[in-house]
Amino acid sequence: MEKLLSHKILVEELELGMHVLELDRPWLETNFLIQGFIIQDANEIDELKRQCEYVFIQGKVEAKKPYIEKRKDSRGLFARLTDKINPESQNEAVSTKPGPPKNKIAYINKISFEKEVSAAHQSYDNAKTVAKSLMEGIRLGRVLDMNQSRAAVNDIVDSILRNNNALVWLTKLKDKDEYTAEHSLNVCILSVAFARHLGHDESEIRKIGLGGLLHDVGKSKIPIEVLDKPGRFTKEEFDIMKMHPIYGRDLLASLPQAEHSSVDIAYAHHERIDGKGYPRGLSPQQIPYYAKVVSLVDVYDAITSNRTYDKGRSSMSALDIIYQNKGTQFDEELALEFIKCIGIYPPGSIVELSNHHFGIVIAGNDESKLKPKIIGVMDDEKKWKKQVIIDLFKDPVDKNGQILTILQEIPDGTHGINIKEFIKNGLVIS
Amino acid sequence: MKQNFSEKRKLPRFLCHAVFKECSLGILNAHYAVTPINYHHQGIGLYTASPLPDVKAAMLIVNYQAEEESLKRLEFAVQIVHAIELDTGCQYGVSFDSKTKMNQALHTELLRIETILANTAGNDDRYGLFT
Repeated sequence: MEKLLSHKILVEELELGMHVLELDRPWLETNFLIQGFIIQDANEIDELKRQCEYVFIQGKVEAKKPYIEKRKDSRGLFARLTDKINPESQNEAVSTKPGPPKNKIAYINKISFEKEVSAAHQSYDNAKTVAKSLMEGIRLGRVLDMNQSRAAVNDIVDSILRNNNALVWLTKLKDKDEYTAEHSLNVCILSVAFARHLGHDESEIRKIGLGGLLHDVGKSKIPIEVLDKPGRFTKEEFDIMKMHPIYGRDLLASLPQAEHSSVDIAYAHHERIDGKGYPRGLSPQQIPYYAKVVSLVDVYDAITSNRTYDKGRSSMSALDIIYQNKGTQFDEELALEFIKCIGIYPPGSIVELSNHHFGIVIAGNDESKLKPKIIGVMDDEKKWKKQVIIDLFKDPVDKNGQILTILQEIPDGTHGINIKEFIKNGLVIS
Repeated sequence: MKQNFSEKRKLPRFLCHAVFKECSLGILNAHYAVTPINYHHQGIGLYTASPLPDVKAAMLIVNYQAEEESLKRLEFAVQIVHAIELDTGCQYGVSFDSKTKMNQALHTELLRIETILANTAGNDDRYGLFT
């Protein structure tokens, strides 16, 4: 159930994307023609600052049934052990145990995809360097730099809070030779986007993002010849791979500045709801909530990523697996929310339109995931065309007056449309 | 730009949830429970938590039930043509492609299952979550 709340806010605190409902004076006494609007650019903020002292903005709060844990304490082993060491921290820790948000925050994009994509690219490149040095550093015996990791995650969170499509678009950059680092980064990005979708507050989103970046840190202790084996594992090799959550827990728990949530995610992201996961075979109530969140993202990115020996599968294939394993491998409610978050046509999908032109999805529409915003790149004669934005939510029509729809998603590379090259070369939108 | 791409999958794959109940693969005298993922009349995508033995030939046992029909069971020889085994779970592509060996009744039934799945599938909204 949703209810709309009005918040009084000083004009100095206004941000792009806020919905202004009322001013501190009658609208007719100001220059604003429309009585109530969403702030689209900085000029509007300047104008509000010039004419008002404070305004009333819309805040949307969704009342949600509280998450009831059957177990008294659903936090992970490390968090509970720490309470035994520091009993005075227990009351505070129990009252703030991670779970689904009680008051779901409905985020809106503050700026457009086109404006965010360049900053997102920079955050992506920086974070990829961090992810690579993190894994390589541990192999070389260096101590994991939590501050560096936090800084990278903060950049990612800031970008996704401004616009939730730009960084997700970059997760389509799948380089088979850099799988381990790219996977950690992509899980971080998609976990942040998923946490935003779930309506978590900013501090929780940052914790989930950090846990996503570090979830596979234990793989740095797996021999390279096993980790990068091009093909099927023997039983012995698979057993070695299954040790990485334990290594991850040990690595992170040894760092005084590591967060409990990151330790829990690294240790429990391969646990399953049916109790058949590893390393501990936990029951659903015992699996830390954040680990349930990250496990969905982990599977999605693993399936859609390219390997040295094979091409990644489509987003649909990964969502099919998540859908069919809801309630067994994955928490059912979270699995359905994850599918809603990713959508049928996530950013980076290549689609054929009803007029047989081809385009690339750059942004989903929160109000209708089946009508995303795309960039038209190729015409019906398979000739490259000037890149133009087509917002299907606005029901554009073809030359015969028919409303354009998506005919089908096509695999990356079809007709020479290669998503990686579009991301690397940048979009030339007119 | 790459110009040499060719799409391997020519048939649409339908989500298995509407019809399939339980599935297993018989391999070397042992049975392994598998989760059916998506299907067309020439093959099925399967998923397991742990890797299966590294073989090509297997027996697929599927229990399925279309609306208002009784539960049915099929058991027939298949080929495991693709395997991706990850720490997150294992995907297998299983082919029924044996036109010369497969009897007509089985082929007809596999086509019928595809039709049932096609009829129950949402046009755009594959998971029924967006409309």
